[in-house]
Amino acid sequence: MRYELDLDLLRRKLSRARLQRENPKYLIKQPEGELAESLSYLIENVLKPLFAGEQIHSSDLDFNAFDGGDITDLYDFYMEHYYDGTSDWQRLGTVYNLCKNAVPLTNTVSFI
Amino acid sequence: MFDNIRNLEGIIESLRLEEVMFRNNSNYTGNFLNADEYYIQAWEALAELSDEYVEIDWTYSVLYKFSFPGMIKFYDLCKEHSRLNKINFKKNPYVTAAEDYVRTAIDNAYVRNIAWNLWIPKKIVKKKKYIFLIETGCYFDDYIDMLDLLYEIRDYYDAQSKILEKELHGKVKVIKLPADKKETRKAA
Repeated sequence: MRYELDLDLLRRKLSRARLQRENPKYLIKQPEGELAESLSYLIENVLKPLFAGEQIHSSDLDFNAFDGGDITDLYDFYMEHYYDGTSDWQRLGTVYNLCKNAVPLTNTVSFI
Repeated sequence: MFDNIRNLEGIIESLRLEEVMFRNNSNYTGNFLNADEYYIQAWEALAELSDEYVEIDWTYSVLYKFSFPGMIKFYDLCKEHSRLNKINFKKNPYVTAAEDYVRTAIDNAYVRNIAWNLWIPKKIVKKKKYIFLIETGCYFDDYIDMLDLLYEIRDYYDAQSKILEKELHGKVKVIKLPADKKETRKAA
């Protein structure tokens, strides 16, 4: 499917946009206090590679470094600190991803 | 910032499966975390752990049959223990404790939509060689917790077999030699 981005329309819509909250969720909250070593291990070795779009093979993980409870904690951590399910945020994310993945086109621009 | 991880719930489940497999299966070599296929991998692991499984078409349920080596050994030792101590097999404290353990483990596990039966064999016969049966209903999907539960039960029987074997055969056997014949003097 081919998409066309009207930058002028985007600029106008963004200028009219109002943030729904004073403290929008997308400002990633820093965890309070120190994280457990096992949870930090999972963030470093599972969550961060996933954000980078990397595949993870389980044999690369040290299963002595965490247990089943830490896996549940990892999911809670993600939901609390990274995930925002609001529709505005999802739509903005869609635009961002479209722009990021768009193939650049060349065009003639007249300079004064 | 915008890159929410697609289907993180699935990846988390896949990681849970890998954790259970690595913790319980020393020959396991691992897999890529896969949000879409962990479900199939978990089902395959469950099927592999069972001695036999039967898919029942008209109810969409599956009957899994288990006879872990430790289970067979355990009940053989219980039989011997009962005979030596002159206890009724089904009232043997090891047999009743094992049944209680299995019941509690299943009650505490997060597995729903299953039925189970622990058949306590007095004698292992070919026709009825399965000791533990689990039937999963059509809405069953707790495969990872089920695997964890089965590994726990398997390990319990292995550990109890060792304890019972030590109790039965671990003691140093004292071989009683025939008593010396008392010298008797024949009356002259």
